[in-house]
Amino acid sequence: MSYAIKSFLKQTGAFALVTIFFTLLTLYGLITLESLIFEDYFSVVPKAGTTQQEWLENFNFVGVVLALVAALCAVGWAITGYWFYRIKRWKSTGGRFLWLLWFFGAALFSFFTAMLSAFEVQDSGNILAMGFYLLNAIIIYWPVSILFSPASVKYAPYFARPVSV
Amino acid sequence: MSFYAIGIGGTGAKCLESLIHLAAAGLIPGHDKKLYLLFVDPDGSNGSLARAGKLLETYTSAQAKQFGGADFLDTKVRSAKDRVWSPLSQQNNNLGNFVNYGTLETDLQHLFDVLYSKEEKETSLDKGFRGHPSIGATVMAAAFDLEASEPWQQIKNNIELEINNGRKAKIMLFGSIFGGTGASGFPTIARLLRNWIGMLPDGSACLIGGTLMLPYFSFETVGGEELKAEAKDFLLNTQAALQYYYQKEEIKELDCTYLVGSDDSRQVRQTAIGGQEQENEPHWVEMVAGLAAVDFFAQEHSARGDYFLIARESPDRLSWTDLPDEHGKVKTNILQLTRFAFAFLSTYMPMLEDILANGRGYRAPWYIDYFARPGVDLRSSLQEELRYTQTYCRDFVLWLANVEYSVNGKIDDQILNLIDFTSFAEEREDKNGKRFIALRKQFSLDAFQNIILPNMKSDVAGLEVLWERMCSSKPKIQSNSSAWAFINQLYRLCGVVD
Repeated sequence: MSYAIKSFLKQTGAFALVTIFFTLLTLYGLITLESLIFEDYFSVVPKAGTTQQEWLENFNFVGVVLALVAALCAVGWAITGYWFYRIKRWKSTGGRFLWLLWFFGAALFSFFTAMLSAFEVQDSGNILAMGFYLLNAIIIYWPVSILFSPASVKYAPYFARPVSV
Repeated sequence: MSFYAIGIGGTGAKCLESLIHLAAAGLIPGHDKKLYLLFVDPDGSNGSLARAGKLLETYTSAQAKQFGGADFLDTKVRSAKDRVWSPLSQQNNNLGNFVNYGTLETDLQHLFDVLYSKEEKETSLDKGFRGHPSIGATVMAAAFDLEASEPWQQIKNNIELEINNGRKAKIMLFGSIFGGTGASGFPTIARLLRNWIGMLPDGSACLIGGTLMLPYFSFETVGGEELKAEAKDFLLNTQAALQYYYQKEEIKELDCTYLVGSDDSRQVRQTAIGGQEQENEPHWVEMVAGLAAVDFFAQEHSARGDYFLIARESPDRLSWTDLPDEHGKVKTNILQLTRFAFAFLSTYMPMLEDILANGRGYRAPWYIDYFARPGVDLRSSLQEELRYTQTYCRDFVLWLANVEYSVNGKIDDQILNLIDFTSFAEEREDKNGKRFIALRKQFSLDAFQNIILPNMKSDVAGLEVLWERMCSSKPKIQSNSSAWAFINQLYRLCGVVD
């Protein structure tokens, strides 16, 4: 097996494992917490024909789908980021552009999915839900890409810095 | 152990040039690698000497900025303050003045007239001994003084210090047998050094070796000068000199003698009696001479009385197996240095310059790891250690390309020998229509894996892998050592073969 393939599997494999960890954290921690917020502190009032329970189930379902999409975007960043520099474009700023592309891909997908899938409500529940979706996407995508991006693009994500300095 | 190398004349200077590159490739043996260099030439403006001197300056300037341990340029190369010793002074610039001909007694004047022609007495020697060793031998023997003149005194003191501390020293002399300065200086300096070492209490701790360069190039005859070296005389001069060495047992003054030459005496591009114009391109024979010094330095004992012979397998080709390489390091080390120079010149230095100009250091993670630190000034590093390294790398790859080019004197895909330099150097024509080798403005990055022949693509990493490894490295940097830590790491990684 060539060095490139071995290195690719090593770096993107590690990245994928950490992404899975953050995704599970989001699915079983964050989304549950957000559901609790909606249940106990911010009672959503859906429009006629929809119960609060149905709205919450929808919120959880969309949240899970969007978390998985964010995880896929993160892995997509790792794969494309790894191969980006294998074609001798070192002076290019495209590494950061690529990172932003995947990031906004995850964020915009969350935004539009939330817009299209949400049941109508009488208050600002859907706006808060959208905020949570975005937060979930950021929490999956950003820390993983800051800490575990492939070596050649490890500082392309915003605020990525050497740990040991 | 410390090593001394003395290059006598233009060819000697070119041999030292090769030795500096071999030292940079880490081929000088031992742990505490020290190499002391001295040039001997009455023609201080000689172009070949100037190029070798400039190379030495670049090497020592880069090394002076080293901080902490070194992988790249690990041999400490030094020279005297005046790195060129000339046996002539400004006033005594011809043989007549040198011996004070005008004040000699009449009988001595007549004897002198028998030994030397009018031209030999009166021609200015500021461009060397012009292929007349009889002039050089007189001047060298009279001017050489280990006790009173620098830099000889300094060399003497250094060697005495080494021996008194129980260490050994080795001196290697380089000179051509067929010219003027080398042919006259080589035996004279060897004999005088031997006499001095013989008087030391532990003289056996200092060995003297010599590399005599037999003819390996020729040149067009220079018009308008009466006293000059002529290529047509080279073989005859060589035959006479070798006969002299044999009969007088001059070679026995040396602990080890190497005779290096080539029967393929191709014309050099520029023909000149001396001065700046006498700058001949590097030649593969000089690399072999440098390797002879490496061999001598690595020998445990004196090789007096032993005779070894190596030759090329094919008269018009040169392969790595033709080169003396007892420890199997020559090809590996030169490959590492070549890869380093190529990568540094084509990718890393331009990237650092680009980051300094345009920012966005995140493009090169190794930049953030090594340079984006408190107290590290990239601008000053680019003006000093990185710039010296760049200059050295340029000198090295150009030298290597010329070594390859000198084997056949043309570029032909079918007859490549040691390296394929076409990715970083190209053939150009000078104003006289003569071809020479110059560095390309843009290197062909895809060829990185295939510079050293035979093709090593399968087990040598490409630039992408090198870049990735640089980005993955975890530097342990002390203050002020960022640039050298970066250089050393890049150099180390260029030696990794999968």
